[in-house]
Amino acid sequence: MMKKLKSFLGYTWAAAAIIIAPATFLGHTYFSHAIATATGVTVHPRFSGGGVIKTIDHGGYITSMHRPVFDALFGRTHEGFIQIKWEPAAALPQVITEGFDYDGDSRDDFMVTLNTATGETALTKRHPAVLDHEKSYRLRNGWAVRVMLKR
Amino acid sequence: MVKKDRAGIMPATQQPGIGKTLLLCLPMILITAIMLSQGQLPSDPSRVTAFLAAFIFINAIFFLMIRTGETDRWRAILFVTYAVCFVISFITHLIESRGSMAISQANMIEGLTPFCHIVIPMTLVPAALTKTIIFPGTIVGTKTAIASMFVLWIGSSLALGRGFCSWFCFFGGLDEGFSRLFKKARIKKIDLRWTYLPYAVLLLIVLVSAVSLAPFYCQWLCPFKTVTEYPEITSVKTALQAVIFISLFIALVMVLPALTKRRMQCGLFCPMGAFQSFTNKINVFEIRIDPGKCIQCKQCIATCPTFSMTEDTLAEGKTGMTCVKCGKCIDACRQNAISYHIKGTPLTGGKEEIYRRLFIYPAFIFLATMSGGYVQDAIAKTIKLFTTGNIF
Repeated sequence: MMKKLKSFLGYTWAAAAIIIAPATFLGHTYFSHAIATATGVTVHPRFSGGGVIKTIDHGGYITSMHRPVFDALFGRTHEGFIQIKWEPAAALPQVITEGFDYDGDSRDDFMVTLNTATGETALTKRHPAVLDHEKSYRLRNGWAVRVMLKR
Repeated sequence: MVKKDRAGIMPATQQPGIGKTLLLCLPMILITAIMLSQGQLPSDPSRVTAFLAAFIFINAIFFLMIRTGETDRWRAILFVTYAVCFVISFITHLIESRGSMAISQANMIEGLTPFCHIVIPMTLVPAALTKTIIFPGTIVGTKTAIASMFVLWIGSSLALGRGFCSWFCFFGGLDEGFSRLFKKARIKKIDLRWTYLPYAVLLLIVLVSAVSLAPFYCQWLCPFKTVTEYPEITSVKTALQAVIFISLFIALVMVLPALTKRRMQCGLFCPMGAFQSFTNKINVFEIRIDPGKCIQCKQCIATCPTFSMTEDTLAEGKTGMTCVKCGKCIDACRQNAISYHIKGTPLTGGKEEIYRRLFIYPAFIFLATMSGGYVQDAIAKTIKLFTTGNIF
């Protein structure tokens, strides 16, 4: 009896494999979205920059301030960064100078000056937790700067 | 017509005739027509030619698999072609879309890095603890998005176990191609203790990636960065990474496979291969050796590309858990003592060919579908290169 059951299950799985193979490709988009929704996973903020916490509309272009990223496997790291993004590229002035308040005390914690023609970036620190700017990045449709912070 | 028995394949009496072979190939012809065309024929003449060439080539391979009873001989041709076409297609696509094979930090911030299956083991611990994926890609939306690759990996693992490494992986064919360059192995003796190395690499990359929250293998150890994409060289660190990638590719994918006739990267280094070995424990397909037919010639041990056949496993009548189900040992056995088998089913009863067909249908669907797009793209680009002098 057990032998027959094992044999039946073996053949069933083998036959199921013939269905699974095309289904993997044909239902690929559906399954991808289902996995993403069911697990709720996102790209780690170290790569994506984290969620946007504030946007400033300058008329022609928009500044997005992401949340400060201190994420670690457990707890938080001592050093992290905050990402600032400007887009669209076509509407950006040649030089952007903008101050940012990331801790919500209504006072600018740092000021970034970015030359959108050369990528040259200068950082003015106004808060002891602001360390330095990492680099400026030319994106497909704008610019991003990461400013290093400590907790 | 008199059919002849050939070493290592099914007896002539079991070989199907042309008509039966075509009938057995019919489902694959239909499935590959759908998968390769994605529901509609291309309008560009070079793309139509590429589609027809790929379609005929892939189905000819399957026809020969069914007709001759040989698996690895024909699988290897498509598998190596797939890897070469993948490299051609991938690199030209990168240069076309980004202007370079190098990936910049800006590309990473924007999530433009294609996700590869080798990253999967490194993402699991951080995903479980932080609900995030430590990779600069996108979760959904493209064919190379993170969730897409997880779907392909889950499907192929359920259907094939570590057969994934011989019927799905777009890198394995490079290793395999170089391992078939020479007729005889220049290095024959390899200490089997090296077979533990992939597990050590797996453990190392899983732990370091979890602690550093970055895919360590991709950053420092992946030989295939040499033929896909690598971080833009902007510092001593990125230059060192490039040197490591190229050195590992030359050593593990080119030189050692050519000298040993084994898949050295897959068998002795790849952490994804080691990870995938565990799926063999639950997958229903396996390779078995009939002790009644085996004459202990050990030809299977000598030919196994991933060191999965040893004297110990031979004595147990099966392969080790690292078996990639390529079928090379089955083709090589002159006694027809080795065959595909479905766990739980009887070992005797002359059903070997049924078991083999039940395995190669899903396995070939994965190989044909995965390879189809890249083979078509590489053919179309080659036609374009010869007719216009420009590959893009």
